[in-house]
Amino acid sequence: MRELVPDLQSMALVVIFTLGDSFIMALGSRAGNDIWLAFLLAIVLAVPVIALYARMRSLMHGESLQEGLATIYGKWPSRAIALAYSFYAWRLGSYVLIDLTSFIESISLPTTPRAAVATAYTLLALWAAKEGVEVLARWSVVMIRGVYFILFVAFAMLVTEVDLAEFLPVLYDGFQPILLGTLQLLDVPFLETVVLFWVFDAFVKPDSPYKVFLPGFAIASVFMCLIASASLAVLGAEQYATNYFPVFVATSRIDVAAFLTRLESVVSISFGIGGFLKVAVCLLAASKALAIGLGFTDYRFLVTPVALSMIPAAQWLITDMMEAERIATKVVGSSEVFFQFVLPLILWITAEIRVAKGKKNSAST
Amino acid sequence: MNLRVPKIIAILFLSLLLTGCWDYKEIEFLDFVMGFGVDETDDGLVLVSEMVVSTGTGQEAQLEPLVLSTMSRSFATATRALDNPAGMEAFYPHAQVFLVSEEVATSGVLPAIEYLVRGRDMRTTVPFLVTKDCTVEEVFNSKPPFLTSVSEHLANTTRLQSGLSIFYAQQIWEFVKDMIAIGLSGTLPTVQLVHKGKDMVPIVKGTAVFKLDRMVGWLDGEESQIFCLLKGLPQSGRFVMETQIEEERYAITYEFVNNATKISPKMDGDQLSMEIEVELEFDVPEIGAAGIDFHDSAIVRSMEEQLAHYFNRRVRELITRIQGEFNSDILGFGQLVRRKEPKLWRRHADDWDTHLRQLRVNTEVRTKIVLTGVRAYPLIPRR
Amino acid sequence: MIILLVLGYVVVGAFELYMWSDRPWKKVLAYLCTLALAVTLTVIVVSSWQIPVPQPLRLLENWVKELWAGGGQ
Repeated sequence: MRELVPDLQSMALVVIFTLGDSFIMALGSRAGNDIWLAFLLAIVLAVPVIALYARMRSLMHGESLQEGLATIYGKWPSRAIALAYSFYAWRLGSYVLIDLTSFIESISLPTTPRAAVATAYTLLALWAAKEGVEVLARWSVVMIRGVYFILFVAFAMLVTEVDLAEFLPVLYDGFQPILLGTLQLLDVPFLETVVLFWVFDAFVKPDSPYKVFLPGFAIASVFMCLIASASLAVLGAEQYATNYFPVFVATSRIDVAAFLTRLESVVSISFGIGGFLKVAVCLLAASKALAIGLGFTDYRFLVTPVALSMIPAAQWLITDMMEAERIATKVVGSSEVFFQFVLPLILWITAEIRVAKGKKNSAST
Repeated sequence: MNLRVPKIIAILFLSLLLTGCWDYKEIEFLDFVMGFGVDETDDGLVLVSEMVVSTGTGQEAQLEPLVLSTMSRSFATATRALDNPAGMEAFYPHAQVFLVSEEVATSGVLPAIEYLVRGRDMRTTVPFLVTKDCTVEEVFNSKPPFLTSVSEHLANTTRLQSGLSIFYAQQIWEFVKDMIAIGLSGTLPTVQLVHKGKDMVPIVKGTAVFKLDRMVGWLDGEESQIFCLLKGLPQSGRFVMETQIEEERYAITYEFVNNATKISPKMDGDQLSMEIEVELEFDVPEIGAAGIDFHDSAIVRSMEEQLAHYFNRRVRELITRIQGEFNSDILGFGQLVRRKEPKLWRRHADDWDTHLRQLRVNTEVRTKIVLTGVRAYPLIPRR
Repeated sequence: MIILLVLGYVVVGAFELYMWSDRPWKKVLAYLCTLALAVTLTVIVVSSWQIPVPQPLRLLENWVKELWAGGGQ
């Protein structure tokens, strides 16, 4: 059973996934007041890598993900790759879950057990993942208007409190902070898009993956850049880097004539939407990749156990807020580099060679 | 198989979880804090809160302020300790004002405000003031003439800053931002008690000057006005200045219409100086018996010159105090140097205090009278 | 608590398996194995055993750190 999703819906999914839960964190904080430069550099660096993911999917056009992988890499290697990414998506999903629960815990519901919040989110994600990527994509199209609206309003309101002089002096500490900020941005959240490789079963046209991944990423990253830069210009670089949720704090400063205040809850809605979708997508990707890894064509029967394992995993992998923050804002993570860059690069080169050879063979016969 | 029933049950179950019922709060058990502040004693800090007591129901309902205080070793424990005498959970997010006493400010304000920045149930968008010559508790127990609640009175007064222009209002986060910024020191407005009959009335006037987190001195109301001008705060206040009109001196009232200030670092070879340019536009709402015809441009020019001279002198006096007496960079000269001349800042960052003392500051005040009420001619009594 | 949670997983597992239209043994096995993993994780978290999270790529990370001091965190 192949699930075809129209490009526009898939793109909405990519936008919300990329924004996810992370836009509220201190993204790229190592860059200090040069954060906008770090964002620009990170976007420029991420685009070719994401194009690479898209290229791989494009090479598989005409086949489902499972068939495509098997054709290019062979039966057993493709299963091994799928298992590895299943693990990666599962872990990412657990991380997002812990971000969501720690945010809720540290902002509004301190005595509510984390497991309760995590369970609620996971059950919802479980349902969504069982319905499949089409439903998630359609849901994204509906929700994205709300997300755009919220982020736009938040940005417009933040601008009323912005002090552009906070961006000065440019490059005071040289290029290294920007590089560190860029690396912070690349592994979380920019290149987490690699999970989406495993979510879509098939695309409408051969060039659809590009049309889905690249504009989706571009929209989300530009939004993130605007919101993060505006928050920094409201708070100052010091406060931006030292708060767990600088965007949240920055929006709490909004005060339009003592009338329009306490807008941070609005940003939390967008955070909730993005976080939920990210958990659902990770769950879907983990189940799908696991099914491929184990050689099943249907993945739905695996969603429940995978989802149920994410709840305890969220509490096992990270036990405190400091760790959650470290993971969201770290500079280089070995597993991230491996899954987001090294492995896709190897896979892409192999795929190009195999496909070229395949074409030659079919031409000669 | 029909899955509708399990699905409906699932939705109901999920919505139950999303209410966050562990943290559910009954409004009857919450006591809203109108304003709060910190006093200091030898044994620890004293948290003083002005709470709301509601009496009567329906149309008869009235909100009466009640002042409670408790001593504790930290702010966070004090907020909980107040719950016991109150018999309710104190609810801080709607507080309208936060005060610290002079003693707290002089010994370092950081222990008193750290919790406000870190704690989840605190908001930093609250006006922040220092009490002068009185304790926080005395201020909360004073009697504002119109409102029953001191917090509300102070919060309203801080909103009038541009019209009063005798203090520079700050919210907690603004003060914190200045305090942690490089090359900039914070200031806070001050509350004083004045006698009004047999009651004490709180008024907001003057500015407390900080260096790091410690208060190092005061600016009076007039100096605060100049400080507000230099900070570029839009002013609409009125003041009276003895003005020489031809041969006589008259007390003439002026009102700010527009004001703009530009401070920029200037390099002259290796010598750094700060250039302060102030542009002021005035209305003249009252001339009394001065008998000025504002069509006479020579008189107007003379008035403008006197205004410029007057403000220039006051700006210079304030800067001398800031550089010498306080040696605290409340105007953010260091921040400006860091932003505009980063190379130079790198050299001076470590001993900026010394540089601040010796820094050459050039001031220029330009003034213009743009309005004269609704008439240019004077009122002339005739026989 | 542990017993209660494990029981919860068993109930969920049994219910799901009951809802399947057919039950090929491979699928059932895969399902049960994954569910068993979830149960194990839950037991680890709920019990007070402090089992560290395995980090196979830590070695690589340490190596990168050595190459570029201050780079990783």
